[in-house]
Amino acid sequence: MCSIRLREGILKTKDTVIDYSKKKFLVIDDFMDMRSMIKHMVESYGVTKVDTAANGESAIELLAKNSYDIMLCDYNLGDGMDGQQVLEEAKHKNLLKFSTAVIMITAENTREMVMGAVEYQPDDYLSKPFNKHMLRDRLEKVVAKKSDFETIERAIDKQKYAEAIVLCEQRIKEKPKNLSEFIRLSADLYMKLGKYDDAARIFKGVLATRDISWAQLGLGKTCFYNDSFMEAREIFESIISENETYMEAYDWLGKTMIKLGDLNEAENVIKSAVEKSPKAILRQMALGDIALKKKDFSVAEKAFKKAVTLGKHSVHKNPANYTNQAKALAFNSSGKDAVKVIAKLRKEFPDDKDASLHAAMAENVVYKEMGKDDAAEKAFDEAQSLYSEIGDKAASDISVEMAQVFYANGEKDKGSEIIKKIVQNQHEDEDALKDIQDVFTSMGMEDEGKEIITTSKEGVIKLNNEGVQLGKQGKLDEAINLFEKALEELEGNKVINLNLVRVLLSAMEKNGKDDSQLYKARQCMLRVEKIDPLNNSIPGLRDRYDKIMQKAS
Amino acid sequence: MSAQSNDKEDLTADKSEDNADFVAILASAIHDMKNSLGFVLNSLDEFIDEADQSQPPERLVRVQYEAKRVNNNLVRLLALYKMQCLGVSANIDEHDVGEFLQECMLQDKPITDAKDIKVNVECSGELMGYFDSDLVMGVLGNAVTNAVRYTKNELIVSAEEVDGYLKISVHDDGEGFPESMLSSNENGAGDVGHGVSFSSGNTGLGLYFSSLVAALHKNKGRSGFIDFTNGCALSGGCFSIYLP
Repeated sequence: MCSIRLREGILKTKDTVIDYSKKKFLVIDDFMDMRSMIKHMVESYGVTKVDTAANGESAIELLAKNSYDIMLCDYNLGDGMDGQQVLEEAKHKNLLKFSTAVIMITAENTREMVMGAVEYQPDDYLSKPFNKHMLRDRLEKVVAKKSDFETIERAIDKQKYAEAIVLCEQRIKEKPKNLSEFIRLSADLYMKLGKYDDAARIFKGVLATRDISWAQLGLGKTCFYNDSFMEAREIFESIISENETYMEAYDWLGKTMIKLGDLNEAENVIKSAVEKSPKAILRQMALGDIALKKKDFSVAEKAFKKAVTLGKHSVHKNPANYTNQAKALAFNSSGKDAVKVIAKLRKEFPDDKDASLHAAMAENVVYKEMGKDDAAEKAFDEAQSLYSEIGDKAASDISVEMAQVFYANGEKDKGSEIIKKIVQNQHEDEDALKDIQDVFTSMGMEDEGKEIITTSKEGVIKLNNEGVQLGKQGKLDEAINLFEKALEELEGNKVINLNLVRVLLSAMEKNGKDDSQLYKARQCMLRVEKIDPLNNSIPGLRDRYDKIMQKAS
Repeated sequence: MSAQSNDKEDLTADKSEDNADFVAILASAIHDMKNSLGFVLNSLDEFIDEADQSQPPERLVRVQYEAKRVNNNLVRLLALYKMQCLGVSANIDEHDVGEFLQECMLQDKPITDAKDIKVNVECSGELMGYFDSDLVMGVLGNAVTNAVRYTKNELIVSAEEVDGYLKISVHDDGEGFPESMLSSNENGAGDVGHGVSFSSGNTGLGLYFSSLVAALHKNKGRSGFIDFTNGCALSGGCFSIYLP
């Protein structure tokens, strides 16, 4: 290299972009010495407002009362919540300002071990040990980076992914400092939009220069979503063989093995991931689910027990973990303990109808297994009345379970009625249908399951096709009528909702804005988002919707 | 290279429970020591800052330096434990080399400031590199702490691209590395141990760690390595790590 630029005097204090005297800090660490050390460090930059918390619970309390500009959180917080859980809960409860910079402090090179889900990632990591100069340098960089990404992040926050991609691509052309981060983000956004081929193109571009794990993982995911499971498997396996602690690769390999129908291998993969990183609740739940399917009850029991404990302080706290643990216990011959777990569920979710229904359904199963028919009968009655109270609002997994309970208690018709409704509402969701078929198979009713699924599906498909056809012929009013009528029965059907939105938008694009049509389209999109928050079609439809809104005004 | 993979096999081959427990306890004890020492170090930095800036007390600076050395050793041991026993590997990503080097130098800023050593970074502003930033930062931290001991007035940290490798070097203006260390290069930089003195007295830990980290960086059939020379950019020693 001949063009060597000398950067001199860099170890003198750099020009600062942050006015520290105005910034409010939150420092979270379980060691008092660490807390006071970090507090001291930031005070030496001129910060005057520093709150500290010794554990996740008190951090959440502070976050609820105050708003902070910068949060420094140690990943390892001892027995309670870990740093990732604090971040997840804070984001989940909307306790962080959009501009709040979050830095996760981790032990040496364990970054991939602690990585959480994409939407719950901190703005940066800082590895221990660090001194005040390093911390300050990192703070400056994070604040600069946050402002660099601000417009894009705001678009993402409003779920305007297509817009965010355009912004990313503009920046990429300018060859900015964080070029590779913009590239990575644009690929992730394409994934969110379901444009897997675009994402794959970007990942391949990165991999052409260099084997980089995140790009390999991304490429593997695009294969997974394109149903190329063999290829996906090969990629995930090669990532793991290169780096045994890349935990996300295990999760995806596990999912892939399930798709390939090899539950044994899926269980092995997730098991070894859980051993390496036992505090990840979603991974424990995934292991429990596989083990339950395999009737490997002692593994399932352990996994769900762990999920219950980990869930205590987590946004992922979930009644199903308790009932799954209870069922695993009951089938593994300890009905008594199972009953205790369900009692704990009732106590920890007071006045929660969903949780009570979960509890009642599980009690029915457990008492039956124990041979206590009276108690089982009582639980069945409770479950029935709760289910009818909740009615159409019941989530589909609850409904499937309820149907199972009906079948198990000899009320076949009621069970079938529920299944029919679920199938009609998600007739295009192959995964969900497969799960339902699995339920029938596990009850020894394979053929009946096939029959009920096929017939329920057919009606909806026919109706939907008719509507689509009308739309294509330009008979928009007729199409709108048809889909609206269909929705009276099938309010939870994503495809019907989306198609109604499509024809409504087309009608307005042709005939101009119509408030009642706008309102209807909005209702449908909200409904779909509620069922499927990451639905691929919504962003595009939302763009069309926004354009119609703007044009009219 | 071969020495490294043999070691790994030895460690994984021995799976007796007791041994595993012992290793885990050792690791957690090191972790604990490192945390305490981190606190000691930062307090020392503060004392020295608070003392008369133009003339920090020499004995305090010496204590600070030795504590930093111990801390480096503990960090290296932990990193090695994670690599050997937990299978943690290099997490390679693209980095702005100039920015990275500046960040690295901040690790030792308390010491270079206290000893009044001038530190310069020489690097093209456009240079990008592919490496595990945590691991390479550990290697450079060791090299700088080591260089600080032998240098007189000045240190240069430089980076450039050489034959498809990213070469990062730490230069000092001291007496240079002893002949014996330079000759060890003839056996390849992976030749570890045998009473070499590098930054950690004569334990060989620093050298072992650095060559291991270098070797973890692989690209298109090539592996990284380390190298010792004298009289490059400055009159003294020059430690280099080559990353493919």
